[in-house]
This record gives sequence, structure tokens and C-alpha cells, in this order.
Amino acid sequence: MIGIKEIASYVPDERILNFDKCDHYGVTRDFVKNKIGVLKRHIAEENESCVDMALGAIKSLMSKVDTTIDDIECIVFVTQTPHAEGLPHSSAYLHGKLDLHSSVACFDVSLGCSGYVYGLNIICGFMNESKFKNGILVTSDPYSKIIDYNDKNTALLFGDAATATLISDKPRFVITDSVYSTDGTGLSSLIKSNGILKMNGREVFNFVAQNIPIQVKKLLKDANISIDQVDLFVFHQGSKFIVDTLVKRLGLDSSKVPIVLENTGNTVSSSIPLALEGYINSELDLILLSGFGVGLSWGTLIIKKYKV
Amino acid sequence: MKVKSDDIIDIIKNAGTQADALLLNEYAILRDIGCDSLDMMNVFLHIQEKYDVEIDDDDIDKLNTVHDFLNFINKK
Repeated sequence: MIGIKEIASYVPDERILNFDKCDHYGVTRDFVKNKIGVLKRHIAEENESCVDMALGAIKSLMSKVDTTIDDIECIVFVTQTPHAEGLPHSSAYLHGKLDLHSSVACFDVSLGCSGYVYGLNIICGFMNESKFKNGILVTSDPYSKIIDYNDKNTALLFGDAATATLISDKPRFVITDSVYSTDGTGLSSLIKSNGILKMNGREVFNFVAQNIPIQVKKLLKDANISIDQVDLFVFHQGSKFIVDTLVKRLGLDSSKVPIVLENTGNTVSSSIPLALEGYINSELDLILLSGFGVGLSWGTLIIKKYKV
Repeated sequence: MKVKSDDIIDIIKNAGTQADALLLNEYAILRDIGCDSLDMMNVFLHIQEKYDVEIDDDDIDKLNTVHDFLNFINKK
């Protein structure tokens, strides 16, 4: 059985404190803390790319597991801010920098905040079909490179981070059920234009508030799992406001819903693994992961503690 | 059936906004009594869902009080 063995993360050294920026953007500390939910964001150096950040996450991952880099048979790289000009794919750059064997399969997945959920299913399916034992799912997005720092809608929200998830045939958690959706008619709500990220906050909020509860409920119904049986709900950390909205609309116990963007910001496809990292060695049984964003794209899946 | 001010006030209270309940009345400017931009977004969505109306971005600046919402919905 293929599934998640371990998760590690990386954030760049440089950080920005949002309280220092309140006057500049005309917002209150209360709004920053209780609505955006981001107090600190990390920013990649000018010459630090998604590949450099991924290397940091993989180095951290390798220090946490017995598996060595030579045991890795594939890397799936989720990013929408690719290395150099995006051709070749970032995972090829990563392959070269890690000096991996030519038998290692590497490819990118171009998705934003739904990327970890999709990526998890993609790598597990790929490894199952290929009879691989060890692979790495990477998420890495230095969004600071596409943020307009005059736009308070995005400037106070996004932070840079990367994660690396060891996918193994000796897993701690395996996927049991999943559901995926896309709405290309809404893509202009969150789009890169002339090199800059543009976000219509209201459209994105409406999309999330209306669609994610439906998808979560559908998945639980199809999987014949009651909402109370789920031990933890890990939502994409879009903002504190958006996660609070999902808690309210789904009627969840907020103690089961981690909000962990205070020190990292919205880190796009890295936000779910960053939140999940602290629970991967826990005794929790059922965890629901739900990612949503650019596309518009959304996906929800359930992972279950694997028992031999 | 005509929508009444109490219906809108209930929506604003139940949406989980930071509006000061003591100051909330038909003519209070919502932003002045504690509703920030995200609270307003939430109220717009609840109104849309409850009354099956579409609030365009162009309408937003005109919707500042419970009274504005009443006029908007009852004209639809």
C-alpha cells in the first residue's frame, strides 16, 4: 500500500511582519490578526527559486527518515511559479541538483492551492502502477515573485514556502476516498496577468464558501463517513477568515480544524502539508484534506491511519 | 412578500460579523458599527443566497445600511 510516510518543510530566512505594514495598507492590527490571520510571512531571496526552496524541504525530509535520496524513484513537483522560464520543468532542475539516477521519474503538476490534494493522488496512483516503493511529492511556490506590493488584497496574505512529503510503501496514512472539481469559467478570479497575481477577493470567497462545503459533504456521504468520525479537517490556509467561514458553514468543531498560517501566510500548495506536518506522527485515524484556489480548482480527500 | 428590516438585521447577526448589535438598526452605516470589508463580503453572500438575488461589484458601494439592502431586494 502506498501512502504518506513523513512530511518536512522549508521557509526562506527573510521575513516580513504584517503589523509593521498596517499603516501602509490602512488596516488595523485586529483585522490582520483575526481576519487575515497572518502575522509573519517569509520571502525568498531574489535569486532563490522554487527549486532552491524544494531542495531545502527535501534536505529537511531526509534528516527525518531512514530512507536515503538514492532510494527515491520518482519526484512529483507541484508549482505555479516554476524555475527559470518553466521549460524545462522544475523537477528536471531538481533532479540535476540532487544528482539523481536517470531511472528516477520526475514531472511537474501545475496547480495552485488545490495542488497538494491532487498531487497526493497523482503520486500514489503513479507509484502504485509503477510498483515504486519511495517517492517525493514536492510543493514549492515563491509567490513573492508575482505579488504586487501595492495590492493589499494579496500583499499581506501570501508567503513563500516549500514542503516535501515522503510517499512510501510503508506509510503512516493512506488515501481512502477523494473527489475533484474544476470551474474554468471562474478562472479570472485568481490569475497572473503581466507577471502579477490578480485576485478578486469577493469572487474567491464566494467560490470557497459555496463550493467547498458541498464537496466535503459529498465526499463524506460517498465514503459513508459521518462528520463526527473525522478526527481532523485540514483546509487550505487561504486566510483565517476563509477557514473560519468553512468551520461555520459545515458546523465543525473548531478544535478539529487547525489554523496555522499565522507564521507563514497563505503558502499556496504548501499550506496543507505545512498544517499536516505536525499530525503525521499522531494517533489520529481519519483526516480530511481540502484544497481550493486557482483554476478554479478544488479537491478533497480522506487519509486514514495505515495499520499493517 | 416584502422583506423587512428585522430580516436583514438577523442575517447580519447570524453571518458572524463584528457589527455592534446595540448600534445595529435600519439606518446605521454597517462599516461604522464594526463591519469590515470581509464582514461585508459575508453579508453580501448571505443576502444573495437567502433572497436569490445577484449583487454585482457595481452595486456594492451603494449597499451601506440595512435600509439600502431592503431597497435593493424589494426592487428586484
